[in-house]
Amino acid sequence: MKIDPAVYWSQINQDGEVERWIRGARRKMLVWNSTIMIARAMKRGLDLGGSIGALIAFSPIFAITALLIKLEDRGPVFFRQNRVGAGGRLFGMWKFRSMVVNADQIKDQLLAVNQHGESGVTFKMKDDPRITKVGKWIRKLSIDEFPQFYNVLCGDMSLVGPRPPLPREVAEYKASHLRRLRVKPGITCLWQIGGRSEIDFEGQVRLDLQYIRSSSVSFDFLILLKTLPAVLFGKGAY
Amino acid sequence: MLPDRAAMDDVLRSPVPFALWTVGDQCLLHHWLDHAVNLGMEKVQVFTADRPAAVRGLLQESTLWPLEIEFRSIPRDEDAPATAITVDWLPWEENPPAARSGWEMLDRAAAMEKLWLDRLLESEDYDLLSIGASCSIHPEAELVPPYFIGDHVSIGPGCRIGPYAVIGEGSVVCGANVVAHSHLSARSFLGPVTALEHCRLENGVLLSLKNRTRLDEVEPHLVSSTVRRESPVPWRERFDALRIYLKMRGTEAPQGEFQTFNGLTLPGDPARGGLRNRVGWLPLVWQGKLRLYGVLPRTNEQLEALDPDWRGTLRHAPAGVFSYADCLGCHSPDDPEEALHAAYQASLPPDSLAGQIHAYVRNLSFQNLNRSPE
Repeated sequence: MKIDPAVYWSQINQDGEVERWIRGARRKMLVWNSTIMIARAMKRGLDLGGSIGALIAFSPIFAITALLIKLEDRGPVFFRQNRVGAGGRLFGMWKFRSMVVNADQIKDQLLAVNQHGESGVTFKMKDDPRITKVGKWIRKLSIDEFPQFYNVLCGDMSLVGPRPPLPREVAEYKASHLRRLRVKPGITCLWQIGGRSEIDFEGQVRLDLQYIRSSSVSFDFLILLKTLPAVLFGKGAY
Repeated sequence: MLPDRAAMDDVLRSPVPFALWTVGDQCLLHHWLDHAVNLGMEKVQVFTADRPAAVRGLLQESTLWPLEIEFRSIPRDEDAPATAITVDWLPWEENPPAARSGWEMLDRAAAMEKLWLDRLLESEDYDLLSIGASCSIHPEAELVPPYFIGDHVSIGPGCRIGPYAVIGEGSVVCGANVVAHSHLSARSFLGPVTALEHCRLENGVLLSLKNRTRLDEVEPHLVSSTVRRESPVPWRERFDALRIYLKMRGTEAPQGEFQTFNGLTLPGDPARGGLRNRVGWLPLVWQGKLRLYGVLPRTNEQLEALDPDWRGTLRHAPAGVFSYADCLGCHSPDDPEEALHAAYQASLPPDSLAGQIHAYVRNLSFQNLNRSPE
């Protein structure tokens, strides 16, 4: 847009020009504010539609998984864990139980073999002895994450967004890591379709920031589509 | 310790203390919370004498930082512990001499922003951090680092943004604009073919740091703000005031009128009117000039008679028809105990005692007011 400021400002005294400009400015502000609101509404709409659709479509899988977990060790089917959500607020995240009932107590003994380092912010290891037989399969196929569609329906989470960390992980964060908590957490994000657990924590944060910067409904849709093969082939999940 | 610069702030006239001014992507206090997280701290104590209610409100919303934050309202800066760090500069930089005027405060904010942008430019994630989410930037716009563009910003064609430009969240920069060494607060609007250099556009008020000029009224097609100016009195309070007014019909209001220290003219007698004054004040709530629940309005003399420590706190507190002091039986600013309760109320977020005062007003027997002067 090449405008000569002198030509532009010479119009200022023309009859009705200023009023027309003011109307134009107000319209522009209104359009932009509406655009922001529509983008937010579309994101929430995608979350609502997606979560309701997923809860209905996967209901047979829910029933079979619940039955298998119950049959294996008679323990609870679901596992509710405190996670840190948007703006650092805590919420209860639902999962299918894939570990033995006293998994947290055993974890302290396993810190030395943490794949993300002994003092790593997150904990991951291959062949974790706390995982049950059913748990191994539901984790491989990411079925353990399916109850999170309920969290999405409630508005604690979104379909796409940075994974919600544990409070003890956030306690180890540096200020630059906190930026990933400024948006609603999600079930899947860029690092899940990229390499899942093989990406280290700094890489995850970088991918989360990349997502936050580029987020839009169409980008969310693309990530959801790319998540399907990542889940079906179980790449990086253990 | 967040220093009290309220008396000095005669240019921007910000509703919040200096430590709550935005520097780059967040307020100065939040930069310090970031610093505390990086140092591995677990607990932070915040002391302030300047508008404690605003600071307390902000800290209540600051849930992002995994810190235990303890807030203390103090009468004067000198009452903060000797070990407290003064939050009037960025945490990782050496603190220059303190500002001595309103313009120097703005210069200080601009200098802090420049340092912050330099630091952001050095970061390896500059590309990811310099532009926020869901922005619309025209391909013909030129971005000159360092700059920071917040979330949901629209930048039109032919714009040159930077160096040292901060565009706040939700702003619209129309086209053929130049923004350099300038700060646009959240939801600003910059009309086409407008250049801002060494300026601060804060909620529609344009401040030129170079020419030392403040422009309150600018043609809205040039610069304005899309921030919805919230009514100082919520509609719920206005309807409550109307209901109470109808209930109080028949109460004899004292004659005369007086002027408060901030220029509001109220009917009644400031010294002896007590609760009976309030009948005449209720229509002002409906008109949006006075809150229903706030500290009691004071005349200039009543304010000057206060302890200097409380004077600063009460000067910025929103005045209301009914106060927390009323609940405790103190109905006049001349009552020494009333100032104590008012200072307590002023140190809390505006609506935190509203429920208690509302319950008091609901149970108030207006028939007795005619019999008792106070």
